Amino acid sequence: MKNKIILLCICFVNAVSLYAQLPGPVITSGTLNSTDGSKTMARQQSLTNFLQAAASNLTSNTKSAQLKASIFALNWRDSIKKYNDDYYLKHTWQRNMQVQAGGGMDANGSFNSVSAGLSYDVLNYRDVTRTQTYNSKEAALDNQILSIQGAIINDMTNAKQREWADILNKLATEAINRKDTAHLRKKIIEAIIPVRLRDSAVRNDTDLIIFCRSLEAEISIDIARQVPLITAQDSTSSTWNLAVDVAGDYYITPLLNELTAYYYYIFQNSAEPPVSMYVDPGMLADFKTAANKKFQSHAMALHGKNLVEVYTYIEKEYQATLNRIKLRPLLTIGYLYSYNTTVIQNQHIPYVSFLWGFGKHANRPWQLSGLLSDSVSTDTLHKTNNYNLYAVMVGIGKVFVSDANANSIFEADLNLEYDHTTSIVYTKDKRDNYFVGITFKARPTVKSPWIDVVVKRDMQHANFAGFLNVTFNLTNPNTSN
Amino acid sequence: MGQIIFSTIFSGGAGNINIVSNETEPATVFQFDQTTKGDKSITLPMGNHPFSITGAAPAGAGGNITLNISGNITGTHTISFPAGRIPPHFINIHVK
Repeated sequence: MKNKIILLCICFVNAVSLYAQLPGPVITSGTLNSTDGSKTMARQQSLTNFLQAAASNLTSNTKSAQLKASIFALNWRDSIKKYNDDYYLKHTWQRNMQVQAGGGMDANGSFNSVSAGLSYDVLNYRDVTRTQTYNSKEAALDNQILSIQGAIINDMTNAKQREWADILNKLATEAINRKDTAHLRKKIIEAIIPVRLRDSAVRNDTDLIIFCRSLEAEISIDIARQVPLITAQDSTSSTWNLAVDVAGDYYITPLLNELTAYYYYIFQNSAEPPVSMYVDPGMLADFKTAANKKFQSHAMALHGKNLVEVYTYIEKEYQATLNRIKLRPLLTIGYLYSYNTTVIQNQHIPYVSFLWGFGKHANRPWQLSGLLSDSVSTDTLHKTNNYNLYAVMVGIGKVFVSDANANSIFEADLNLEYDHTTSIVYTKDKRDNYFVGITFKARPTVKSPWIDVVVKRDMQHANFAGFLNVTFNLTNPNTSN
Repeated sequence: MGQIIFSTIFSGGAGNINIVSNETEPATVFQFDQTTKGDKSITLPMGNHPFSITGAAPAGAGGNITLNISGNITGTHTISFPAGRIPPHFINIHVK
């Protein structure tokens, strides 16, 4: 958080321009700054959940930098209180509202512009944190799967307890026949506790000590009475209840821990884990054999014929649900002010932008975008708001490469822009202008900054222009947009 | 007999968590979401009781569900589930 504050302060102090975000007036002939707004097609620039920094026009003489953040990201409240669901859901407006600030410098490296803006997502259907992703269909599938597994766990637990009962009866009978309880604890440990769990802590295990003492006491009474007493698996026997305590520690809990680790591994890797961590491999193998046999007979309903297939399907379905939500419509309104020491001085830009994703492959979707803006400004010769430019932009984008979690790695946007000036028109400029642009956005990994290459063509002047931009997400890249 | 009490804390938006006991027929399911997160309890015989937990913690940054299990049980249990689909999570609760 401290880094964010420092970065924000640096940005405000340096005070630079934000032209890159929106279409603005044609500043000078030979530049195409007015069409630099193609970057607004990028969805992360329309919906900023966290801090984001961008540097624009890195290859041109004039450069600019921007910092953008949601109000929620700037909320200094302690993160536990901030993310508490009551507070979080009541402050959705903070996540939907973004502020931005920036500035630019001229070819000599002197700061020459400053800007600030505010935007609000008036329609935001793509916020996954407000959507219940676990539905009745998923719950029904889970219940069916867990019912199968629960029955197997119960069967294995009961079988193990019967095995323990037989072992304890045998040890008790031997002790009674010997009329001696010496070394009983050692024999119990060797008989019932798996080798991998027989560490030094076992001998000091309170539950185990209490159980052994109770069993020794019972056997001693039996020896005194000269009658064999079967203690094990009698639900009314306090000694047997103590044995069940020990069974929980050394059999059931390790088995359940093993199963939990097993499923977490499948969810993350869509494959079997290489080794078992908590139980003997044979125990896990027994469970898998029993479960897979059941799954195979219900493969159609469970969407898989074994544990790996079923849980790989569940995880993929969940990710697909999230990705579908992230494609839903988003409508943003905003206002941007900028001041420049050169030609265009005071500039006011209200705007509306729209995004809507679609496509069969939620991991590599198409995305429609639209932008309508009105730039009202003054220049160095006219101190009143004498310049007025309307800009309409439509675009279509496509994610071509995404990672395993559906984060875009490479995408391209094609956009068309029409500008109409209703006021004075500068020399060498026209009242109506048409532009076509294409933006390529790429990053090596989801944690890397975006590198944007923007290529534009002014259809009337037949000019080409190119821009190189870099965008950094300063916090969690896996946000809901 | 002893009582097991489940309580949850949701962080970062909408989520859901189901705690399932397959010892009953049909299975006993305790369902929590961000609107129904009060304490829920069950009374069971002494001994070991396996429970399975599934659901989805609130997606996105800050998403998390904390499950606390208390009552007449051995030890205390606090399990934290990070944002996303919760893989089947099994736990043995020993009623004392």
